[in-house]
Amino acid sequence: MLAATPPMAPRRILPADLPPDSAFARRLVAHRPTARVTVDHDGSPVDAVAGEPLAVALLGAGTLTLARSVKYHRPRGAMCLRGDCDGCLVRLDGVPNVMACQTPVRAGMVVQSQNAFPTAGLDVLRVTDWFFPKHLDHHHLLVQFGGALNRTMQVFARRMAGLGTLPDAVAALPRAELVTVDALVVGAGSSGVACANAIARGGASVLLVDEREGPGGTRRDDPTDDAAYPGCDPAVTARYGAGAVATYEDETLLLHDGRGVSVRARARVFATGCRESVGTFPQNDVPGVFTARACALALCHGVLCGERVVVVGDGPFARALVAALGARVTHAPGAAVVEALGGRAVRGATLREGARTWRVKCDALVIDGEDSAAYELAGQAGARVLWSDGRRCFVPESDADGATNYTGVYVTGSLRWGRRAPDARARDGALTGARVLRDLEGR
Amino acid sequence: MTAKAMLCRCEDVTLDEVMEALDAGHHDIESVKRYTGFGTGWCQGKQCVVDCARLLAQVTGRAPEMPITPRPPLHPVPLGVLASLGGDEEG
Amino acid sequence: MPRVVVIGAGILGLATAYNLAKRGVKDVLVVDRAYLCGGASGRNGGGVRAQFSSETNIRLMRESIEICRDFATEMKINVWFRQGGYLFLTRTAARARDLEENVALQNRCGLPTRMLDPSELHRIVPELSSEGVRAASFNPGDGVVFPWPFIWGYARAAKDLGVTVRPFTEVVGFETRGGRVTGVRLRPTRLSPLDATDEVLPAGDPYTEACDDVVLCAGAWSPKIAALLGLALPNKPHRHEICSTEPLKPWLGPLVADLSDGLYFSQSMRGEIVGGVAVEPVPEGINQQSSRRFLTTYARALVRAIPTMAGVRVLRQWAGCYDLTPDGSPIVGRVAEPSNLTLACGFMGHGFMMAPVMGRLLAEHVATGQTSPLFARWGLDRFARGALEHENMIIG
Repeated sequence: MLAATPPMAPRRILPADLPPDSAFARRLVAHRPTARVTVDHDGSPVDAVAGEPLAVALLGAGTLTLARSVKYHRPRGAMCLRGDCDGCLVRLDGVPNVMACQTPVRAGMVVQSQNAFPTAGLDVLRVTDWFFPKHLDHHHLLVQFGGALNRTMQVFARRMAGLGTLPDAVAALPRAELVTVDALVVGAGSSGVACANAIARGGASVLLVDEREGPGGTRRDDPTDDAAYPGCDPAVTARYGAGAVATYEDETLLLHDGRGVSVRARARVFATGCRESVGTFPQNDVPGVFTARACALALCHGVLCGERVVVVGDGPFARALVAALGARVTHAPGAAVVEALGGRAVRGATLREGARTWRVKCDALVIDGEDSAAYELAGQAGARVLWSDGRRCFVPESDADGATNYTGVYVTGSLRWGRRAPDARARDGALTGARVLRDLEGR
Repeated sequence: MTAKAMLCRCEDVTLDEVMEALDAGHHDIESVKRYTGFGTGWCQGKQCVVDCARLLAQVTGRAPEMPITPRPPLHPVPLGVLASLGGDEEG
Repeated sequence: MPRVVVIGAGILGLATAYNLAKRGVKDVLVVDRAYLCGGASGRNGGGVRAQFSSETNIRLMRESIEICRDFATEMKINVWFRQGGYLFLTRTAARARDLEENVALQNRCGLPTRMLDPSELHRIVPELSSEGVRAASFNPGDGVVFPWPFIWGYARAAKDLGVTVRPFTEVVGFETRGGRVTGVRLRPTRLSPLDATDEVLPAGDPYTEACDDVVLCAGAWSPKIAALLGLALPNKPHRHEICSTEPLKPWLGPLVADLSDGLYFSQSMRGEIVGGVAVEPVPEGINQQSSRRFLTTYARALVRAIPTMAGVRVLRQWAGCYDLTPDGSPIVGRVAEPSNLTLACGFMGHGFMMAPVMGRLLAEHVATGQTSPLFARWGLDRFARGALEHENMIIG
């Protein structure tokens, strides 16, 4: 039994380390890790759990710095844990630029730093960051000297460019798949599942996809709202680990377990939800700055983002973390971050609330900040995407049912409304699903 | 220690650089993108387009009406996977 | 001082305006329907080559490459010009013969281009598969640039000399008298919510700018604008697509172009592989949308050429318009009526690389009235006369 064995790694915890009534503890017990494996990270062995995200395993081992940035070689680490940033890019088994947060751990993985000398943990090329304290204006660098000096600079700049090197081996072409359905629903959160159910119950064929390993969307990372995950109607065909990567006039491409799937659907519903950001402030990219959702995700795998955590913001994830982490947490719900402190890893922050400004010490700065609609796929599909003053982000334009200006393209759930309670999102999904059915019958 | 505020992590574009682009006369979001390179890196703007739009709203008093054009793919896709999806040259 | 209105603030319009101002013609207004770098000048792959099949193009591009090499120093902005060469591949005996003829002509024009046996390819690009390749040519003097700084460089330098550059301004009409344009009718614009289409929306009332000369270099939009003058141009816009991969450390020296399928790819200064491929049929009309068919066709062609790239990821695809003429050569020079209109369009898919030298020639022509033999050869009237000027080294 895992509970009887000693802690695996510096930042790993067991259910017993959390308050007994904590929803995270219940989640950890319910999803007990199955197999402990070892992966190699820059020559050092790292204890991990098979199937968990590689970035979470590395975080659990106390490794904050995973990568270096393109220009200044600033240290980077996991920040969003959902494949939306560049913080966890590593070379994995001879393949460059692999997002460790999107990669399930397997025994024997060989993980290497990229774009750093000697390793991401200590990179001598960071001298560029010190040398250009404000910023490096590459448009005008050494242009006043002209001729040979400028050309030499260009040769050097080219050598410094790029993140990884070519893959070691020639990858075999995977077998592709072609699927035809009446409706494709992208995103298996509360609204996506409700939408797919409505369409299926109306007799149309529907494919529901999500890049995560199962349904739930936001609720996968927030166990305090652990009302049973919405169940898919048996008539819904659902694929998990199948992210929609591109959509065109009449075709959507999925990446499912490394294989390409082409989906032709008469209706496409985007229930892609929202994205979190930590915001822009000095040192916002230093390892140890996380979105609240990322921390919750890590905690669901039994990994702490830090021992002295400062949580800024008051959204559902922030509150869930504060409840679970107890004494490890300082909560500043109404504060804004003025700056993060720390050159190699976060060691504190300056916060401001109203007229008051103060400093805190921490080894993890967790921000539950403004979110924004994940509008990109709907935009690729042809929907008009416009700025919303109310939500301070870009939102696909839709009518009362979620139909956009482009025939056959719909949006539903928190993508179009922002954060709302799950049952409200489910109602929105059902509403959009009913509209899809009517339109399918009409065309 | 340098205290840069990174507006675009993937291309190492600092907040200062965006402000300088605005000063240099690049006022619409597409021009700011081209001049600074924000949104053209690994995440293709998933993290930074909204942050930049919020900045433009604050600095110029008016947010951009639209984001930079959403283009496929949403996430990086291997050429081998794309090659396997071809073959119907009728399109 | 003559008042020149230049229609199109792509590289050709800005290069022309800059060169006009250098010649003392400073009362120049450059207008563009959208933002700078919005047209083909901002969407191309940055290739710069002298390997062409016509002597005109070869000699022109030799000069343009010289300008590119000195651009950063003269204009005080980095353009990342790298002469890694262009490697052309052919897969049929017929095209191999064409290539040999072209190389011989290039040699006579002073280029060091040489034919390569397929077995020599691995020395230039070790990762390249030579399977099916019949013959190849390589000119080490060809190269790639980063396109956008050319626009900013020309714009800044032109403005410093007194030129006015006015983006988000479209041409909605002309005023003419006595067979000459006397004014250009303009209207402020804003972008429509769909960049892929031709839409810009009105954002103000139209107004007229008086002028003595007009230069029309609006690329794919030129025929539409010429039609406002009752002038029918034979060039047609065709969507061409392009994409770029994740950034990798430098490994690819030249730009590789396969003449059999239109595949081309090169490594940018940031480490991305940027490239495209021909997709038939190419839809006519202004269209900048992305298609799945392009992406998968490109992927198949690229993975065939460089098998190890199967594991390399595409980050973004986009599109722009080639400006295609019936014979593959541009349309440059004055027309019969209106007599003060100078055309410069129809540059196929290689207008960007020609613009530095064309900007000089156009400025000389507009400022002095001097007509280079080039203008006669590339004039609009050649189509009616049947004196076509063919170019067969077309990429993409």
